Amino acid sequence: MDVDAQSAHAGGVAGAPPSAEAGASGSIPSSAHASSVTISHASTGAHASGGGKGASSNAMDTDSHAEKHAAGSSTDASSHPAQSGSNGNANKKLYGAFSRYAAAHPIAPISSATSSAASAVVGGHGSKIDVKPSESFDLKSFLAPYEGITIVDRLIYIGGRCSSLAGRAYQMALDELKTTENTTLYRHLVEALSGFPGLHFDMQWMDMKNAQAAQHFERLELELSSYKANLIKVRIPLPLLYEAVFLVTFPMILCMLLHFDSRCQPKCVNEPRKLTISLRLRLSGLSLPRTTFGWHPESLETSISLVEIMVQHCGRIPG
Amino acid sequence: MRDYCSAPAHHTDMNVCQARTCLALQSFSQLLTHVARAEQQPDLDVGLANQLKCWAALSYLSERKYKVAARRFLEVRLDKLPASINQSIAVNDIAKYATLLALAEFDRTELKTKVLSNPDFTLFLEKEPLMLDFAKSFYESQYGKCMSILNQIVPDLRLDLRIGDHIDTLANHIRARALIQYFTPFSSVDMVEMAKAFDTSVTSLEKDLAELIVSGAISARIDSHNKRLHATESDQRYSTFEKSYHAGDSFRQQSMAMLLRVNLIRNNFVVKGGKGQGGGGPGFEFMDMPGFAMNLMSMRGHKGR
Repeated sequence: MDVDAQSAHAGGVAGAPPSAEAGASGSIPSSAHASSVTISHASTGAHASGGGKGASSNAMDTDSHAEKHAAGSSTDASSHPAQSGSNGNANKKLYGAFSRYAAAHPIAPISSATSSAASAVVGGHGSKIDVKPSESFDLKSFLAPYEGITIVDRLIYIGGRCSSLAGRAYQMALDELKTTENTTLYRHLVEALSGFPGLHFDMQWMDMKNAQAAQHFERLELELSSYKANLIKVRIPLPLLYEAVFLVTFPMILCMLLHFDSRCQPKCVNEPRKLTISLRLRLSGLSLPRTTFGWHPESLETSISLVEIMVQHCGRIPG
Repeated sequence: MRDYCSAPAHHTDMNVCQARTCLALQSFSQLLTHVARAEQQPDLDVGLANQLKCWAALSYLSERKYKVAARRFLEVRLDKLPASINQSIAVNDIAKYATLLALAEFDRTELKTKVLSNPDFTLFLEKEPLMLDFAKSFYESQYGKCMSILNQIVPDLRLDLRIGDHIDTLANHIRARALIQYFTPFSSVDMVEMAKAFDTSVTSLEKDLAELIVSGAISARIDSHNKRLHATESDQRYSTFEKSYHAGDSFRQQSMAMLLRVNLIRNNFVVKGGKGQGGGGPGFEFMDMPGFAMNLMSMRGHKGR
């Protein structure tokens, strides 16, 4: 693989996989290593954009269930020679939760469109029929009616079916992903298409997004820590705060508990129970945003601000 | 998560989210389950209900249940579709998919009532004039135009995420139905003329016709030398007599068997298995042999009559 000057590895040993350097630093390949990779010709499986360790890069990807799901993943290191090597386990960890999506949307360029190295990367999926679209086929107008992730799905599908459109489709998919924050799918595409000629991988964008996510996460952690510290000052039991954060983050459960407590309040006799119910009832007076079941940072921010109000309320609660 | 849902709206939201996830993961069997659960909720929003119909149709399409998929697509109302439908399927896609599936699976009556004369679906077809022409030309037996449009749309639809894997099958179904409809009124057809009508070559047409004959879709013979297709007519009169004769013979045999059994019982002609033996061994007991013989004689007389 020939990469341009931007992707040269600082201090790297010639011929050594770049992931080794990245692994040593304990993070994904930074922009200093591979900020913008343009592959002009496919040669070997090792690539500048290949997954580094990424242990602290993207907190969303490194969930505890990762390794369990990684076994059946199409992004498994064994199915992608580009991922094989010392960083195979790291990639498993990275894409564990993503494996079902990756299995449902295999990135499989047809063999005529790619070089031998590229078809090796996709794991022998090159036996598909090459579809030739009509002369009037325009990719942009074809995708114009769609929104969201379906655009990327369709582009990946087109890339796997049509050799004449594959390069453009994959590049459009990469560009489309850059309008989102889906660095996991971007990395998946980068690794699956590492040998594909003429594609431009913007690793700098991915690093930037991952760094932003990490910073956001750290900020939230710090805020939570500070709230915990303030909580000790006002002498509010810590488990109660955890419960409150949880309840505000998931308003559906909160509503259910409030409904339950409003019926059970007369039965509560001891002070802690009364305090809990009082806290919950005070929370009910706040206008809670109607969220879905999923966790997202905005809801946590809202919840933390609400917890701050709640702490003020709790400070005046006797006992 | 189901335990945390306390209101019907929560159940609906949860099922819709799960269905959306299944669609993204292309897990279509689970998608159908969640769609069915969401549709059972009371006070379901009309837009959401239409979206769920689209998802269910996509699910049936992926499972190759084309007729059910076509019916679900045709139930969708254009004016009630939510804006978020573009995240899964475009409005133009509904027109394309439903038309193709209907032409491949529906008979002429259903095609007329549910597609061409359906005011709700006409709104979809107005967004895709080519598909409207396609359906009309098929219904009006303008097969040349129909096949020309089909050949025009198929290459691009092969690149469609949802129907790309099915378009060749559907196109073959439509072509076969058109061939059958074309040939049905005739007893003999010139294949050169037929190939012109279908905008194809004689060789390709002959191959398609051979497949239809082998599958039993049409009853015909191909005269390859003269390039003619002859219908093989069966003699309805002869086959009817043959059937009635076999029915009468079968009835006579059954009646004889019944009479024999009745007479055997009446004359105490029974077979008893010995103790400790497998049965059928010893013990024919002719208890009233003369009576049995008389009855057997009368039975033969009955046959003679």
